[in-house]
Amino acid sequence: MTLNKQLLCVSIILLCLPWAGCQYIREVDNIFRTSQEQTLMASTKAVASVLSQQAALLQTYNSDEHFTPLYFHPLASSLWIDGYSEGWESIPAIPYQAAHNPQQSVTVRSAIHNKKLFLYFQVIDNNVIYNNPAQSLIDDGDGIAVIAASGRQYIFTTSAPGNVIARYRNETNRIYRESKINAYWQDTEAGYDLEVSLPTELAAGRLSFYIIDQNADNIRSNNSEHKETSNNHTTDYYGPMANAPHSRPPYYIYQSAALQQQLDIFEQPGQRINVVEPHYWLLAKTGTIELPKAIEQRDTTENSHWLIKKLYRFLLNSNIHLKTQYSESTNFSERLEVIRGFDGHSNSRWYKDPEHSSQNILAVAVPVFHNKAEATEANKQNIIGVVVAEQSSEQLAALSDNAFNKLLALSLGAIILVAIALLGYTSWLSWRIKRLSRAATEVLSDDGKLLDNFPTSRAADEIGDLTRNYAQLLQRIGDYTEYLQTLSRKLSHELRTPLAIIHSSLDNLNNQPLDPHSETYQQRAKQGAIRLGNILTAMSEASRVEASIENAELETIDLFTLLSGVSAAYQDIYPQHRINFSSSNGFNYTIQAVPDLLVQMLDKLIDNAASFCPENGLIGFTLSHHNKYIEITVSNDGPLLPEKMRSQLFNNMVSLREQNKNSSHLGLGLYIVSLIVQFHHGSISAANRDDASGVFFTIHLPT
Amino acid sequence: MARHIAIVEDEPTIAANYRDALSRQGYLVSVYSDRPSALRGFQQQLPDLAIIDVGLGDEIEGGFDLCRELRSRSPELPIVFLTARESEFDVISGLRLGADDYLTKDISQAQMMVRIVALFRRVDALKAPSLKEDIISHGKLMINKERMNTRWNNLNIDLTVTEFWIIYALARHPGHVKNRQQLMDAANVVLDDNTITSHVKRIRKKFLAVDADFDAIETAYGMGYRWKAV
Repeated sequence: MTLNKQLLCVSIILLCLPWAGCQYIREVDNIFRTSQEQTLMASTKAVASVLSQQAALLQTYNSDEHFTPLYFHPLASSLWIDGYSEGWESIPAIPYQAAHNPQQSVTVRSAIHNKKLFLYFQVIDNNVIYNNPAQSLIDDGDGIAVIAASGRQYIFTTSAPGNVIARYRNETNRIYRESKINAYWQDTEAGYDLEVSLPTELAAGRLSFYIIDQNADNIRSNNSEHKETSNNHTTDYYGPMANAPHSRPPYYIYQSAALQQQLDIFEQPGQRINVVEPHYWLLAKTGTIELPKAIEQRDTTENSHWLIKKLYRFLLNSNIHLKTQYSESTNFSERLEVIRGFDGHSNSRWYKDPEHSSQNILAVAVPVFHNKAEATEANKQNIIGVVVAEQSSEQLAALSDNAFNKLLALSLGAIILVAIALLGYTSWLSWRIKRLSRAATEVLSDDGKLLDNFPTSRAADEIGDLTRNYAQLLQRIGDYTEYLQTLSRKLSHELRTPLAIIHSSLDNLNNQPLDPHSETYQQRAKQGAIRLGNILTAMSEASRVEASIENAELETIDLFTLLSGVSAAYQDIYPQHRINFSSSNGFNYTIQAVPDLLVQMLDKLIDNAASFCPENGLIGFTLSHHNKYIEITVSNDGPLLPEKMRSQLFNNMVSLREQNKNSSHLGLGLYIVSLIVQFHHGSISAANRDDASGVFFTIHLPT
Repeated sequence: MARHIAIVEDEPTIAANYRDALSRQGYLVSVYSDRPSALRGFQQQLPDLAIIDVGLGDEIEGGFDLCRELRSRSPELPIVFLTARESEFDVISGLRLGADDYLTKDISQAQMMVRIVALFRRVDALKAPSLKEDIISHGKLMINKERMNTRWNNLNIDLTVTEFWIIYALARHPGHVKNRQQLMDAANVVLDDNTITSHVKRIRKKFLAVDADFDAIETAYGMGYRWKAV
């Protein structure tokens, strides 16, 4: 693993910075949430306390416990009374089951618009019996009775589908028709539908109904709630007022304009305030959860890029997991916070926003107590309503977007800065180390010599120290190598004087009368001294070649002439080997060279070859011309070169010879060859023959 | 009268050995161990031949200085350097100062004796021209063996004893290749091939100095040298 890769790995740690940032943002978001809850709670409590001072707007709805009140949904426009269900689709139906007959039931929808109450009954009756006016205008046939605050029961029966006249009995039991009421009867497959509209002043705040179901046959159902028998008919009654048709109907519930006005004071953008009565019906609401487009637009464009916004929402969304989805309704019976509110607890709850998957909705519910009641939990029968304030988390998110933006920008900037600084710094360090490593590699030339090109460093740090130590080390090694290289020359020089003493002494001894034994010893001593002299000569040969190279002058010579002459001469000198010279004809082999040095080089090579080549073995010279150089090879049938020593072969003092040979070899021969080749800007290499029959040296001399 | 040879050598054992050897041959030998004592001796009487070491005690080139002074006092006096220093540079410096030969210390006594005899013979020949002169003349070359005198194009070539013997060996049989061993034998030296090469190179330079077109010594690669037959 290179330093750079390691660095990359380490810099991954930097990624924990954005992670920490996200954690921080979540923490901040939690705090924001809590504070949003508290703020909304406070403002909702303010609304609740104001409403409790004006309990009159609310308290009426709490008075009846016996009957389920009807809730009149607000309508955007008036309805055409035609018995059809157009215009009622958005209004929830409330079903009533007939107790005496499971097949009998009614669903009722109720709405209010412009001081007119609308009712839409859908009665399921497998046997619709029409009114027989001959029997009675009221008491005959199926129908519906609607009871107003005055106690009047408006009865709708008809002898045929179409417009129905509402009739009632006055105190004197006479039947009257009420012309302010419009109604229309429509037969359906399952039974009949009845659509009714009546002015609010007729209802006078209270309204309820029951269904009159006359049975055609004589079979009496035993469990009918309320029966009347006339002729051969039985009549069943069901619906909210079926059991007590003469008691006061409950207040009906509708969204009151007075309360609405009161609430409008508290309206704030992005916040919806609902007032819910104890039956969980909505009494009034003001404001919308959606932020005004203008504000949202401004936030979006000014503060945050959509991507950042999205990222932010994503981060926060994973913070909380909400199961409940917000749904808007005029009935709050499903809403836990409202239920708890009616238990006397102020509480809050988060919902998923169904329209914006990344947003949440906060709902706060605060109970409204009757103005004289104490606002305690134990006092919950005095709760006349619950104020529910709803707000989108977007409001808060839009606010904290800015903070997130800044945090993101700052931490991103910091990360980039730190990363660049770290990367730069470490790249610089690794560049220095690389440079040092390269310098350490380059300081050793191809032929194993130490070059004087190691850079000096003035840096005061550890790498600088390393460089200097390295330089010092190389200096020492260089000195030592130089000492070793000059050692042979110095040694041969120093040994020459004592050798001269031995020589001259032996020569003197030669002139003395000696007995035969002494003469033998004298001769042996002489031989030893001569050999010692040869060794010394060989030792200083390399330095003499170096000296003669310094003084050498290039001449134009023909290599073919030189080689053919030399190889012929070598055959005389080495009669025990076959010496062969071949060359590719037709080329010009003249080059600029120093012939004496070349001959000396060839001498060394043939001397080397002959010493390895077995008797009667072949020593071959070849000369060939290549594009930019002339190639000379010298091959012999000797033993193969060991692989490991191949590159050191031409170094000073390296010898591959076995040590038991009698002749003195100091490993200088091939070194001298390489000196001469280098002087001619050529190259030399040694290799084994492909068929492993011997060794060949290849010399390239540039033309 | 016995000839007088001065040995200037800081190594007493070698000096003693050479003194013994030369005395045995009937020469009168004086030994000096450093330059000042040698100079004092030479002021009293000049020797007939001087054998000088280059390094003398502390003076690493004391021999060269001594040679310069001797030569200034006597142009004819044969001077031989006998030294352990064998670098090309030292050889050239020594010969340029007018030494008649430059020998390394591994030369045998016998070879040295031959040189000394030859040098004395040349001195004698110069003093009293003998009637019977052994002269080789070949083209522009003329060699007088007795006087050890070489002329090219009638110009004197100043050669050392070793060089003279090499030229003599080559020129006696023009066209014949003399290998290095033969030249060594002729020059009465045991030298390695390189030294013969550098001797030949020096000889060529000396001829080239008087005749820029000199090319009479030919190299037979791998074999040796030959004097170009005209």
